[in-house]
Amino acid sequence: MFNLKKIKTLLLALLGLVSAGYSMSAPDVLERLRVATTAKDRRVKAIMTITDRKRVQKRTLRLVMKGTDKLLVTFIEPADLRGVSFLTTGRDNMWVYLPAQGRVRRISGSAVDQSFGGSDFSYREMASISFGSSRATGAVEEKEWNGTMVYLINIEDGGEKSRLWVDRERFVPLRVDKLDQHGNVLKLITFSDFLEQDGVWIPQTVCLDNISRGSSTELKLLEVNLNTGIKDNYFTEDNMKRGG
Amino acid sequence: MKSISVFIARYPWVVLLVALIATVVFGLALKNLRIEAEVTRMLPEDEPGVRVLRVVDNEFGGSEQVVVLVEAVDLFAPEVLVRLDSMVQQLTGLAAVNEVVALTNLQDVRGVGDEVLISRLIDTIPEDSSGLEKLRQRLLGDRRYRGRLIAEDGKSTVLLVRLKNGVDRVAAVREIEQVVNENWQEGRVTLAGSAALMKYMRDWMKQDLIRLLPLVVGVLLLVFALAFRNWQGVVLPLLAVGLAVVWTMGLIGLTGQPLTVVLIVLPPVILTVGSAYGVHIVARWHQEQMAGKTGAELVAAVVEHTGIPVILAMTTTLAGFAANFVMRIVAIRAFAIFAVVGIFLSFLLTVFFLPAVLVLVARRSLHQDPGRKRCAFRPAGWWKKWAGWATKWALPVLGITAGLMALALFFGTKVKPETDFVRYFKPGSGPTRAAKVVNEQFGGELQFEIIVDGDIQHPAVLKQMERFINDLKGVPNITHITSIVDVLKATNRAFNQDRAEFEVIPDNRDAVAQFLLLLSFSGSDYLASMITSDYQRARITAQFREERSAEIGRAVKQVRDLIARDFSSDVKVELGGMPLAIYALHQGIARSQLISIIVAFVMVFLLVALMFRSVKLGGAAMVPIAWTLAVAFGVMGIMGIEVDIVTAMLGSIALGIGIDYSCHLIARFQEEGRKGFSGEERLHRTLSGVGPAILTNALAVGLGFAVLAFSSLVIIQKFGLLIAGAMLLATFGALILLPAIFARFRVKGTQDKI
Repeated sequence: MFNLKKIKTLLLALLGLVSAGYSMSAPDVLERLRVATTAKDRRVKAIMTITDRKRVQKRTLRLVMKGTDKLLVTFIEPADLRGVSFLTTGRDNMWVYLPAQGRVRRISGSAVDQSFGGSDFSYREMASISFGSSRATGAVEEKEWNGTMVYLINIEDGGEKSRLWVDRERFVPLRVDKLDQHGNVLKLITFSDFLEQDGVWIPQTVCLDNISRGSSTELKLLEVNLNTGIKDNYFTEDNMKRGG
Repeated sequence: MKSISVFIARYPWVVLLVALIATVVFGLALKNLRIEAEVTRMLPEDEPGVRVLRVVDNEFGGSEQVVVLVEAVDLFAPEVLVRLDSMVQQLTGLAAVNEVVALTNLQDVRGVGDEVLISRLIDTIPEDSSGLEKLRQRLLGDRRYRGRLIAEDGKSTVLLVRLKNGVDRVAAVREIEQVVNENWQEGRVTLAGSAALMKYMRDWMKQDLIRLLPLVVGVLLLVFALAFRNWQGVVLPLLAVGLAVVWTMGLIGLTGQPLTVVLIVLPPVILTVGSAYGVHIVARWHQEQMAGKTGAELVAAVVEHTGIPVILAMTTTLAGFAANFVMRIVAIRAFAIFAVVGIFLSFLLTVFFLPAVLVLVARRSLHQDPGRKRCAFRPAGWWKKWAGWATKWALPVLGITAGLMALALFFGTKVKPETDFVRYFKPGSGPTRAAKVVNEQFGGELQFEIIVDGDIQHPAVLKQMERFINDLKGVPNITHITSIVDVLKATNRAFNQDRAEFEVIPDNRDAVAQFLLLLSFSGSDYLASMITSDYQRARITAQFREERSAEIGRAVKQVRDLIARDFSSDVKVELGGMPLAIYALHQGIARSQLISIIVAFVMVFLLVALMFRSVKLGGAAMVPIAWTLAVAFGVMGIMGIEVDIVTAMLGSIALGIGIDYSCHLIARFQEEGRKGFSGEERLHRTLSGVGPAILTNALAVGLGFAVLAFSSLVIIQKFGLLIAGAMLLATFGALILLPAIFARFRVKGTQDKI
């Protein structure tokens, strides 16, 4: 059976070879990155380590993602948070289930998307690690970073500006600098330990340094399952209560 | 003594060269000087108030905040709210700012049916009048905001700008000022809070240093010009002591010691006190010159006769200043050390540098008519009358003095310490007015910090915190209390359809942990100022509307009692914050001021008694000083003048300086006795010999300190005027009381009773 994704990657790679000598545009680079990193759905088990003013906390999570807007996160550890789950099915739809209360509540308001569970990641950053909703702007710079040749492009997502370092060979993200309105770096995200599964590159480690706060969060992926055929109706209140 | 005089007479250029090299070295170090106005820097780091502030700095995002007070505006006009929001955003964007707490960016957790709304209190600014009226009613109707962030009349608001830990606070306040000035044209905007106060104080201290030092030098020049009427007498003592100031300040720069509000008075202190030694040497120089002495003989005569009294004056002054080292306040200790160094250096320069210059000058002016040089305060008849009068009226003078002293001592006991730093500023000045408004309308500038260590997620610990907070509300002058307890209760209510019965601490630990996780979605900083990320440490802040240290002291005691009562032994609780720092200064002064005076008194007495080899003479020398201190504190008691961080040194400094007059008088009295004079003649020769120099010295010191009355800071003004007054009293003591004592009592060493 043909794997359409693999064929698409191969074609794009060939296109890359043919067009050698021609410079790529920023949207081209971003598109190639999406192709290289996007899966239909993902089931991930991860450990999140939050370091804030020398105090370290570890949390084990199960994440189930489909497309760019459906995400169900369930806490496995620590014990007092076991079973807590968050569900998003769109930019403004978010629910929480707190086992101690036995209730699901819709969460709304402008302040919700500030931090994911006390980490330096925002909820949106957790959901859109493959830059699905980002838009590339400006020119492409080619340079060497940490011994790897990269494309450096500017991207924008909902008014937030970032600079993105993309591996020229594999088209995977290596580093993102989240900028404030004056161009100062607020957060620095690095992606490493890439693993290829079904033609999709997945970073096993994502580190986020919150420069302005002086804290950092590391997300280490333990188990990754891609394209498992998760249905849209998986993302329900019942599944939240069941713990995903 | 003799070998010194021989060396100076033979090698004056060597002395000048050494002085020049040292001046260049220390002069270059002056650029390292930095002014520090922060209250906590005056205290040891292990002081509870300071220690807790450091915990807040390191674990809760920073303890320092600038209060931006926006007054006299209709806050509920859309354009005003938009501008306020824009200003808040710009302030939040400053590199030195951790967070800004303001009406337009307040986080709110509310339950609306089955929804939990986590948003800004003002999510969108209403544009129509009904929306604005609704907002006004909501804000003014909520006790969490009314009287804390918005005044009761809705016409003033405050923005609490929390600074990051370790930033340059002065630069941060300057940036905040700039943003505020660019954004706000209407109404009145003033900065308050400890960081802003410290910045203003630092600016004014700098201004004082630049403005007052030349004024002190000018006054000294004028006094010396009047007294000596020749350039050596005017310029030389000041040149020697000016070099001592440069060396000492250079040394402070080299050691990295900050110039605190206490240390800032050091240059005028060295100038005025140190120049006294030069005055006595130059005065004697002229006396010996007029007697026909020249060259090495002249130097020897001056050193022989003024050496001992000048050394004694110097060592007693050093003892007075050094006694301040018993104070627990580190800024005063630093002052004690550098004052001792500075005065010793001015003595060294006076003994070596000044005669060396005089030798060179004398070589050139050998053929001058010595009769042309004369000192003021020298009409012989006047001093003779004084000697007669002192002898005749000795008993009534001593009697009246004793009576006045007893009265003054009574009032002196009423003098109280006050370390409220708003009082450093003039009444009606910007900082004083802003502090008053913040205290009256926004719950106070100061806040207690209470750090709770334990398993904060445990309902039992939270319930102890809740009980403590409820009790804390009963402590007078405590206004608004902020902690994780209220936030958790509000979240519980919001999660349960906004039902009031759920505004309680959840009963199980998991529920607390899960609410905290939910709250963390509204941003790490929202919780970070109240609880650490591992939930093992919580912070309770309690605003306090009083700044007087006695009121703070009463509150500290009550809060400590509540901590002991409300928390179990497994929960560690520590009280601190700026009120405690201010109270620690208060306690530091209250406990050690008297000790420093006693230490100075005993040391000076022992030195004088040892030098004159007479306990009785030592005792006699202390009488004018006892009189000076008693009356100075008596006047302070009558006039309600409080002792602050700078005037705390008044007693020991006045003692150290004032004793000099007695030393010079006693030394000369002994000298005249050895020459065979007795009775009224001996007293007359003594008074006419050292009286002019004492008067010149006292006038110079008194007026030099009086110049500090032009300071921008009340704390410095008070110090200057009190020392000036004390010098007046000490002069009276030396020139009237001591002769009266010599007239009435037989004192060993004075050889006879007049």
